[in-house]
Amino acid sequence: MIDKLLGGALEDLERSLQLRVTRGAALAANVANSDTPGYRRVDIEFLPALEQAAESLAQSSSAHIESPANAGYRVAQGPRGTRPDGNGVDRDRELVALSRNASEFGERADVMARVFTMRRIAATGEAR
Amino acid sequence: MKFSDISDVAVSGLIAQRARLAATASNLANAQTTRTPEGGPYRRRDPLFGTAPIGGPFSDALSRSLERVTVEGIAYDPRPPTLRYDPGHPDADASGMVALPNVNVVEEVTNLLSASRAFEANLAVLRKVREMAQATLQIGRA
Repeated sequence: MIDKLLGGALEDLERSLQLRVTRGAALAANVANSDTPGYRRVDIEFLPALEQAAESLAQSSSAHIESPANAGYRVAQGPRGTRPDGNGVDRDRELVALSRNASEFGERADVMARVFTMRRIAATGEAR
Repeated sequence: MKFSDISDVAVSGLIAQRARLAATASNLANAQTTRTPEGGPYRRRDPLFGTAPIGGPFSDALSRSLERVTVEGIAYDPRPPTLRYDPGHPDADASGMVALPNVNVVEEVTNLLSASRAFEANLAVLRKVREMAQATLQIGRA
């Protein structure tokens, strides 16, 4: 239990933070392109574990859109929009998602800070 | 993927919407202009938006799969000029008709509002990125 908290938890948290940064960039791209004709919204798509293993093997060209190795997700395009200009972005929806994404990021950053505090306590034996 | 990548995307949105505001301002200011260097009345213009991958050629694949917005150029509205009967106008033709710009003020004001809303949306994105970056700094304070 304690070794998980002080060791492996950090890597999981780091990956979780990285995912939120990537999702933030995808949502920011959607807002920036909310008036670009024919733009299709992008978002993070999670890969099932098996597919993920196959994906990392199948990346044979540098042109493939791929996530960092074993990230478990990639950036995927949504369907074509129904607006006359073919754009499928709802700006309000993107901003709500972005806001939620930022709070999720904040929560995880907070947990990470606490893990570091616990490590310091474990190393020094001092609570403050 | 870095915080600066997100900021770059939001800034590209700000620049694009500013170009749209500039075009709208130009259209409104010239709504009655009948003389231009290229001859004839002023023609309404609109920026053309396109996309470009974020980050440079050395950024990771994930960054290159996301797109920022770019202003590809300025397009002229193909609609013909509005003709109005005004024989006293210095630019009236033999039959007294004046060719006025193909600018519709209502349309321009609608565009103006839409552009400023989009500008604000991109500003909101920038604020959220800053919030996230500040949360990261909290980790270091532990």
